[in-house]
This record gives sequence, structure tokens and C-alpha cells, in this order.
Amino acid sequence: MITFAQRELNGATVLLPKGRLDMVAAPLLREHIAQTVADGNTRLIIDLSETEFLDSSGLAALVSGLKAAREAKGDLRIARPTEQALLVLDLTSMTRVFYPYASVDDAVNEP
Amino acid sequence: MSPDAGGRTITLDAPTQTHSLNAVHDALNELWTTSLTVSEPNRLAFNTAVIEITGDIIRHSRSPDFHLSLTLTPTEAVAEFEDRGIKLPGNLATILSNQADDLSEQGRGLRLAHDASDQIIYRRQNDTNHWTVRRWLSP
Repeated sequence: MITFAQRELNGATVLLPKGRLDMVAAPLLREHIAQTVADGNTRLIIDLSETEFLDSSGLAALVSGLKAAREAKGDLRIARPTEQALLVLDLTSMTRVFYPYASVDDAVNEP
Repeated sequence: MSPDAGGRTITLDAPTQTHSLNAVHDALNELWTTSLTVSEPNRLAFNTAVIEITGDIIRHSRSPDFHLSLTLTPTEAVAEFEDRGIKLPGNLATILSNQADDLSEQGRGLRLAHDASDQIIYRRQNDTNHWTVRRWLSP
């Protein structure tokens, strides 16, 4: 079971998935991000600090979200990945797509 | 789920449905309780590989169920899967050699399982798929 906490910070939308971001939760995240972007919130920060587990399905949902944000002239950044999420990002070389910010503030404020 | 007498092998039979991922996570958690000496990086990498193979079987095998055996020894963690689904379409080495594009939304699972483990073996025998995932445990 995953839940998404959402807040606004300096014009960005910060999304905090709590739980496992796997093939069960990935479609939910994909849908949530798509709706958030459709609502006009195109600067997204995904705070992964409470994502207990990230698999390739969850990663695909993040890629989907990134594409949706960019199509709307926005961006999607990730912040505070857990050790396991960072392992997945490293092994898949996706750190070149998602630079993992150490803090949500950094992700929001860095140009 | 049933640990053996030594508490180092855990087996699981589950349907190929997404909720079975939770059962595999639970089995992995139980496996690690049998040894407190396995490092966090080793546990995370093995978990990642095992969940990816589980997801691949659930998503693609078309088998009604699958069997999983998790074994932990002082030198290795091993997951052995069996399912009665369709044969892997193509050669594993060829599949692994195909790198997903950066913005692709599929095609990373088996590669991730491979890179998170030290050995991954697929074989087809008697209409059954056998997957072995092995992670050597450094001290």
C-alpha cells in the first residue's frame, strides 16, 4: 500500500510517496503525476525519503512523470533517495536522467 | 512460507498476481532475520534482484503460480524460482545486452536483476522455467 503526501514549496509541488514504489504502486504514481501536471503544477519534486522500495516499474513511473512534466514545459526532480532507491538509480544509470538531490530544498531551489 | 530446520531456507508458493510481491518481500525480511551479519548493501541488492525476477514472472510468464526458494549461507544468498509459464522469448544474454533508452518506460527489469546480483541463470526444463539469482556475501 502506498500513499502520496503532497505540498507546495516555492512554486513547486513536492510529492512524498510512502511505501513501496513497485509494479503495484507504479500505475498510481503515474496517474497522480499526470493529474498533477494536468492541473497546472509542472514543477515536481519527488521526495523518495519514505519510499521503502523502488523497482523498475516505479522507475518507469518516474520516467513517465518526467516526460509529462517536460511536455508541459516543466520538470521533475527527485530528492532524498533511500539507499535502495539510489542503488536502483545507479545500476540503471538513471542518475544521468534524475540527479538525486540531497534535500527537497536543493531540488526546489537549484536552477 | 516455511523455514527449514536450520532456519536458512524459506520457500514460498504464490499466485502470479501483484499482491504476491508483498509475500516475497515478507519472505526476504524473514530470510535476513536468520543472519544479522549480512551487510545492508548485500541485502538491498539481493532484494532488488529477487523482486525484479518476481515482477518479471508475474508480468510475463502467464503461469498461474510460481515457487520460490530463498537460501542463505555464510557465503551466499540464493533465490531459485520455478514457474510453468511460457518460455523466455529469446536468449537471456541477448536480452541483457539490450540497453533501454534513458526515457524508455520498460526494458530495465532483467538488466537490473542481473546487475544487482553476482549470477543470474535462466533455464527451461520440462516445460518449467527455472531462475537462479545468486549474491555472494562478502564479509
